[in-house]
Amino acid sequence: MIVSNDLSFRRIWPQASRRLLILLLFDCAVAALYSFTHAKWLTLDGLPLAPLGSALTIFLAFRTNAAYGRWWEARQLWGSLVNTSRALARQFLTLIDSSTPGADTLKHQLVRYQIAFAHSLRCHLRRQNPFPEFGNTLNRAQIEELRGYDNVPAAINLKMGELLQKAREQGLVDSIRAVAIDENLTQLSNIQGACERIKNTPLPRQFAYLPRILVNVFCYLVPLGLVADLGLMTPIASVLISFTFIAADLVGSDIENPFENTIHDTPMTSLTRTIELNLREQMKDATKLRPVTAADGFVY
Amino acid sequence: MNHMTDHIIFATNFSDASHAAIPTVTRWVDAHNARLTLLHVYNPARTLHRDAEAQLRSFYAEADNYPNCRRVLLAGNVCSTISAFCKRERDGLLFMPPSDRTSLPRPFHISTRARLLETLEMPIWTLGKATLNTGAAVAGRNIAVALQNLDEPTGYLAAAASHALRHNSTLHLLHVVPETTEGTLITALHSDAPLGIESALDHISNIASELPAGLKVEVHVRMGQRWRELKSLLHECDAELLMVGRSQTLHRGLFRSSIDPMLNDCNIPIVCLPEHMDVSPSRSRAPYLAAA
Repeated sequence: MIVSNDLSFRRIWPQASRRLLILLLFDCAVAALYSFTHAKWLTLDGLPLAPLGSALTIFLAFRTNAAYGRWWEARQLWGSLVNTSRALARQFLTLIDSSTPGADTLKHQLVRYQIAFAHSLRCHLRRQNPFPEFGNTLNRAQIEELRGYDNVPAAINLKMGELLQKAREQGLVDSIRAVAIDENLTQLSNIQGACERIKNTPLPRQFAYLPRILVNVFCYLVPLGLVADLGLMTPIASVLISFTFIAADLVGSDIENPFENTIHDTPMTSLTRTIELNLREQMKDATKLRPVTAADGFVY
Repeated sequence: MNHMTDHIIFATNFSDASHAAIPTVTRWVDAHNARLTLLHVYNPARTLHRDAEAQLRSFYAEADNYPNCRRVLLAGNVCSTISAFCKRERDGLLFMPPSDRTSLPRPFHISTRARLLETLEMPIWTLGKATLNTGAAVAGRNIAVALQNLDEPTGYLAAAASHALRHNSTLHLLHVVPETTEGTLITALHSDAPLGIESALDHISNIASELPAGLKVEVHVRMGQRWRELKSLLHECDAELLMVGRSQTLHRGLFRSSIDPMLNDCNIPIVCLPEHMDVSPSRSRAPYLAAA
C-alpha cells in the first residue's frame, strides 16, 4: 500500500511512461506537420472532444469505483481479521478454565494456531508457501500435518475447532462459552471466504478492456482536435489531457486486485505482524519481533 | 541440486520484480530447507545507511519468522559488492530477478545480472520476463536443460540431474542443431560439436548414459533456428524450469554483455549454472545426494 505522497512517477506507474512517450511523439509529429507543412487534413476541428471526454470519464469513474470497492472491501476484511483475532485470543485465554493441568498449554496452542491462521491466509491469497513461517508458532508435527491440506487456513480453522471440542469434552469450557468462541471461528471462515471471492473473481473484463481502448483512441484524437487552435503548443495540452485519462485508467487497474504482493496491495504482511505481536503479548510470550513499518513510501 | 541449495542469497533492490519473486524464493527455501540471506547493496553517495536499513528490514518481513534468515546490508558498487559477497559464500544459489520493465528503450543500460553471470562462478536463478509467474516451480514435473554448445564442458549437467532426482522430475535434454549453411560449416571448423541430428542424438545419449540410473531422462534434438525450436521444445516437454550453462546465457556485444535475448523471452524460471560446477554433497543433504 502506498502511504507517501512524495513518490516518483516512474516508481508508481512505470507502464504509463511508454504510453505517454509514444503520445508525446505523436503529438509533436501532428503539431510539426500542421505548423510547417500546413497539412490541413490533419485537423478535426469539429471533433466534439468535450462530450467524448465526459462520456469516457463516466465509464472510467464506474470502473475506478468498482476497483476501489474491491480494494476497500479487502482492507475492511483484514481490519476485521485483526479484531477477530484479538477477540478470539482473549476468549481462548480467559474463557477456558485454567484450573486443570494442561489447560494453559491448550490455550497457548489455540492462540498459536490463530497466529498461524493469519499468516497462512496471507500466504494463501498471495499464492505463497506458508510453511517456513510456521517454525516460530507450531511444532514440527503440526506443520507436517498441515502439509496434507491444500487449503491451509481452512485446515487451521478446523484444528482450532477440534481443540475447542477437546476442551469441551474435558470440561474446560462450558457450552455457552464454546458457542461464543465458535461464532468467532465462523467469523474467520467468513473473512477467508470473502477474501477468496475477491481474489478469484476478477472485475468483469469489459470494465478493464473497454476503458483502455477508449482512452487510447481518445488520447490520439486529442491533438487532432486541438492542433488548429494551439499549433506548436498542442503537445503540452494534449499530453496533459492524455495523462489525466491514462492516470484514471491506471488507478483502476492498479487497485482492482488487492492481494497480489504489489505496492498497491492491502498491507497484509504488516497486518499479520500486528496480529502476531498483539497475540504474543496477550500470551506474555517474550519472542521479540519488529513491527513492519513503511519504508520508502510503501508498506506491504 | 547440490550443496548450493543449502543457501539461497536473494539480492534485492526492493523493486516490484523483487517483491514478485518472494513466493518463488519461499518455495525454494521450503523445498530445500535452505538458509536465506537477503542481500541489499546501496550506494552511500545516494542513500543514507539508515534509509537502506529500514527498507531492508521491511522487505520480505515474513522471513523474520524463518528458522535461518539473515539480512545483509552492504555499501558500494552493486556488482562488485554482490560478487565479493557471493565469492565468500560459495555454497549458494543467487536469486536475481530481472529489473522492472519500464517499456522504454535503455540503450546505455548495463545489466547487473549479465555482469554477475560473466564474473561469478555460482548458480544464478533468474527469469526472462519481469512479469513473474507466482506459480514458478522449484522443479516441477519436468526440468529442461538446454545443451547448446556440445563441445564445451557440461559439468553443470550433474547438478541439473541431481536436482531432478531430488524432486523426482524428468530431465529433458534439449539441443537444437543449426541449419546447415556455409556459415555453419565455417564455424564447425573450430568446433567438435555434431552437425547432424543423428550425431547430436548419439552425442547427447552418451552424455545421458553417464547420468544417475534412477533418473528419468528424455533427449530432444531438432534442427532449425535455435530460439524458435528451443521455445517449441520447452513447450512440448512442458518444462517448468530451464537450466542452462552460463556461457549460453550471455550475449557478448561489442561494448558490453547482455542477457541472451532468447532467454529474455523465456516465460519459465532459469537457473544459470557455471560450466565447471562442483557437485559435492551438501552438509545437510549428503545421504540424499549419495543416490545421485
